[in-house]
Amino acid sequence: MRPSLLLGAALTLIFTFAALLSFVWTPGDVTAVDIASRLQPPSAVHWLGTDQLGRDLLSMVMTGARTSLAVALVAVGLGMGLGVPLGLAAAARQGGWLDELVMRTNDLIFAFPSLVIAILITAIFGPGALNAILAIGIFNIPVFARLTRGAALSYWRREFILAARVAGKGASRISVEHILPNLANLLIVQGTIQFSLGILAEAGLSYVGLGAQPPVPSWGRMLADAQTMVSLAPHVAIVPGLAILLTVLGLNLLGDGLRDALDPRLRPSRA
Amino acid sequence: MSLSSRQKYPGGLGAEPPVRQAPEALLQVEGLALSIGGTAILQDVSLSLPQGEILALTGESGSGKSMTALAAIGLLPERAETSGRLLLAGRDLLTLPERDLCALRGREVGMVFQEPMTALNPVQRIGDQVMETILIHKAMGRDAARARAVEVMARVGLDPARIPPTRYPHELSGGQRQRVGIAMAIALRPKLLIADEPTTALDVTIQAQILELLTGLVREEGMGMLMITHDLAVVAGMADRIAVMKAGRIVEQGPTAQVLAEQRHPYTRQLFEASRHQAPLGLITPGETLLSVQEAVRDYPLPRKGLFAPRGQFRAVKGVSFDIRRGERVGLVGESGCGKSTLSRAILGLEPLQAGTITLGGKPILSHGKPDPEIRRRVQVVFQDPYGSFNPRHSVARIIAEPFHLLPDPPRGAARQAAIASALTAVGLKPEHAEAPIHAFSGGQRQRIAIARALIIEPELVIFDEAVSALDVRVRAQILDLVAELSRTRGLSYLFVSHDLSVVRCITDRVLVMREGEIVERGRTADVFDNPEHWYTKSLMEAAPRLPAPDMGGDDDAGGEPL
Repeated sequence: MRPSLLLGAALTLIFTFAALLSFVWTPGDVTAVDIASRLQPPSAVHWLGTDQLGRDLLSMVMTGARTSLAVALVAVGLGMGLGVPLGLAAAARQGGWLDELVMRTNDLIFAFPSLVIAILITAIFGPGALNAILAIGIFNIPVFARLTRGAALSYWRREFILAARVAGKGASRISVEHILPNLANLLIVQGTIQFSLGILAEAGLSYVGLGAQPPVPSWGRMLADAQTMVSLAPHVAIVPGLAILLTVLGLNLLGDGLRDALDPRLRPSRA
Repeated sequence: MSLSSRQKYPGGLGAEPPVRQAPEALLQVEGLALSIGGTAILQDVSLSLPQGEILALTGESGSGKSMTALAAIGLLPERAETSGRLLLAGRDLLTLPERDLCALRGREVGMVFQEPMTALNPVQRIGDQVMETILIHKAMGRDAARARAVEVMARVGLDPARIPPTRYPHELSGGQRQRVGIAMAIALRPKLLIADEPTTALDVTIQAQILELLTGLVREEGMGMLMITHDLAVVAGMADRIAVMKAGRIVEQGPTAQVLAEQRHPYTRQLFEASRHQAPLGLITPGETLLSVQEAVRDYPLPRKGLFAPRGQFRAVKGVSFDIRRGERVGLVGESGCGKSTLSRAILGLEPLQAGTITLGGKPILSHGKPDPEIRRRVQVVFQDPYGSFNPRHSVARIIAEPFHLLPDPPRGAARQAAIASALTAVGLKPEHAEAPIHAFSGGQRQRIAIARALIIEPELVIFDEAVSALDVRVRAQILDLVAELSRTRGLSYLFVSHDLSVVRCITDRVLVMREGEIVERGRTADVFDNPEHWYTKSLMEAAPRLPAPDMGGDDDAGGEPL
């Protein structure tokens, strides 16, 4: 087992645990405002200190992890759930109208910056976590569609696919039975990396006020709020910043580690 | 051309080496042993190659012949541990630092690779790639290097008027690319040329030309050549000396004629016998017509030349007709691009035809563009690549049982297990192998599994598409015996598609010779091979390298049945 994989898995587990724990218990109430004890440095009562409204930062980070992980998870799930089948279908009909349609739509989505689309969605439906999910999810579809199509195409040229066609199997059956299992490693790895990008995107959207709305805590908005007080109480900015950094780092390490661990070429096969 | 820059070498070899180094060999390997991570790869390898001679290193895959060649150019893997000595013109390459090895590669030792398709950089002009070798070694200025590149490309048969150095690799054929590879290797007139299976990926007529070019270069330029090949017929035709390797050791070496005549080591004998193998086909009486191909035409659309230009067509199969009768063993030979693969895919119902019909037992394979499962399950196929033709994630049982998909009511449970077990037994494997993952099997075993997959639904016709081309000679002989046995015992009919004439000769009753989408000659295998009539068939036969007939003892390998 590689140390980077272990570190990545450990960081990811810690933040997942913190997010899950926040459902049942947090050290303080994230909605309890206590102006008297605002901007306190870390202490025995408030392990990570308090923010400008006197809220407990540890509780904020734990509940914020919930928002971040949930938004990123659902968004990546959406992207994968739609992108992978589209990519498989495009590869199965390479050069056909379906392939063209999927790939050109991908190009179209890629042509818009994600923030612009997020603003657009917000303008139509109003800000909120759901719209952040939608905005991030839409941008994950072409990523997975392209990746799946590219990798699937290389498998379509292999002889075992030809053998399956000789056995009378149709394109969709071959895609599911023969191609998808061979892409699993790749998709898991890309999923982890997209997941970390999703957390960053959610933080970015919340930072500009388009993500989860108060009083639901979010790492991005914590950063935005702390911005004006960096010189006064730097820990208020450092805590959510570190949380984002460590989660993204952990997921990236996990993704890299998984890629190495799952790659059959790096595994001992036979003597 | 200037040779003065040779003096750059550290290590005191300042003076120009004498032109004739009297008895000393150009390449002298003494007791070379090599291990990687504790696994012994080479043991006690000793070789000697004088200037101007060709030494062939032969053996099956995994015998260590390529590793020996890599040692001779200092390209061993990082973790390799070596002992012994490997002297090139008196200097031990095993102890030289990487810097000196870099200075040596390309200048003192040139290398020609197997795969001309991947050995060239696709985005660089061929002239620049030849020049690169010269410029890296700062052997001459840019203009001189360009002139030398043109000169050396003309030397390897790339006429600058027809194939200018400004071409890109994709604009050349396989043989022309291999010529560029050779030009790169000899640009600086190295003393030693290493050729690692230089013609294995080429067609037989091109192979003959490349072998002639290499031999000529060695004789005229006085280089030494270390030739790695698994093909004994090639070895017999061109090498001065042969070294036979097995499992990291040299089991026999000596002058070519002597090794061919004596074959002292049993392994050498096995190799030669396997190369000359004649599968025991037995006599059959063909039944009624099974497969009938009538005026089959297959066109491929070419990319548009302009936005509104009409699409061109490439006709891969130009109105081919032939029949296969029940029980017959038919060969289809031709060089790459002749349309034989397209034709076999059309028979499998994988490619639509633009004109003509293919029928099996009187019924068309494709009806309204859709393959009829009823018909399709009567034809199965065995592909060439024992590694690429199985889903790496499936077990043997799942792979073999895949064609059951064609049956309206596939066997389940115990019946399925029994079918898998009997298919495995039929190809010489054990029923226990069913649950093993595919990567646990060797190339030959995988080809047996591929045959089991083709046989499980008891087809009437099997297409072997280059089915033994990727196998070592001894394994190849075993697989051919298996195919022959299946045809004798089960009355299996097959179409054996191959570029390898010797294989087709030993496994078929009738042969079709295909060239540029047409069948140019057909007839009984023995007749076509002994008395070819079409000029193309004649040129194929002449180009094919051939083993000299055994002098003594006669042929005791073929089971004694006459053709």
